[in-house]
Amino acid sequence: MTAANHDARLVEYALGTLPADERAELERELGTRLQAELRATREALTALSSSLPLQPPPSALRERLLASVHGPARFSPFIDRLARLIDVAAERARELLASLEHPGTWLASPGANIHLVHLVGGPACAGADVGFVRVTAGTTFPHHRHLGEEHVLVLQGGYCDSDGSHVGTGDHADMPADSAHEFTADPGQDLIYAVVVHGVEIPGFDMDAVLPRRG
Amino acid sequence: MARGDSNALGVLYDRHATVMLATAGRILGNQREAEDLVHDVLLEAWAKAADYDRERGSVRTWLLVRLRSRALDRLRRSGRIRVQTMEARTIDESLPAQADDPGQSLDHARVRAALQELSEPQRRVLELAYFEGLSSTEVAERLAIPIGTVKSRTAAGLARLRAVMHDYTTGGRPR
Repeated sequence: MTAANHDARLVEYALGTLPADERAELERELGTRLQAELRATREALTALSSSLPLQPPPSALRERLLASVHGPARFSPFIDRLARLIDVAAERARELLASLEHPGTWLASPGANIHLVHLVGGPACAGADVGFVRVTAGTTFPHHRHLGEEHVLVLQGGYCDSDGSHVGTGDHADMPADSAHEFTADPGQDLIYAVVVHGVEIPGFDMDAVLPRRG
Repeated sequence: MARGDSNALGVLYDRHATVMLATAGRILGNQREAEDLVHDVLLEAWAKAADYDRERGSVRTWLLVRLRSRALDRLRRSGRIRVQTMEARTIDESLPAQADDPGQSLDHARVRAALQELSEPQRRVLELAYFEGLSSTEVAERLAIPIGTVKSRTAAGLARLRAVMHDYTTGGRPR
């Protein structure tokens, strides 16, 4: 294979016109140098888009796009991460996230301004309590102790932990067994997170009523 | 944006929607379909932002590669054949690049200048490959020229564009 042929194949690969068998062969050869070549080739090819006559896009398109992420699609960035956290298929995670839009999904808890959704996780969550938690903006979740590990994925809003750290949307927060803390949801927007926890004690709470059902 | 920040999606739209819409419109030949595709790709980018790897290229390129691929897929699925003449697709020098940030304007200006330095045959093979998704063989058939000529013109044109993009990303002047 000459360098010229290699370059030509890389261009066809970047354009998506390389035959499937040659594509597979090239992908096996894609080392660091070729990756850099591929990146530069793609940058150059997409520069062609700048040659086109440009007009500002209609404002309605922007409005439609932003409306999409404020509706049922707003949790879509978390589908894969939720699927991994609670060990379910991506489609199931998508359904669960979409269900958060429905007020009837949420159940009251003994804690003021704290609502829950009980979930059944996959095999990797065996023995754990799995669910969604919604904490009204500005509310402090009371001091509690984790009997086992806890894994959290924040889906909306954020909170300030009693250790001084801030956890925001999209963050993962892990607490080790036998750790304790409290946290306060940020003002302005309710905090929503997914949680997998292996036991927790909250003084004054009936834990059978608080905890998601064990997965 | 990987944190699900919808404001970041708005910023992404403001920076890239203009060139995305032009590209989708050029490939699909239909403004409404182009708008739908831009919407879908930006939403996809928002949903998959956590997978974005800065080492593999710029956000702009990621968006345009994805957009082009999906536009060509939609075109193929619909069975439509583009018969627009090349003259209608050549660079429109009379229209200034309208962008939302100075960097993007500079990008368009430089690329347009670079494209002016390409020969018309070089530009034609690049446009057929990029905007119509034609392979080298198909470009050769379309233009009735040897495939070796297509490849040499493609390589020369891309080399020029790569030099411009390299200078742009490193802050130098185009050669």
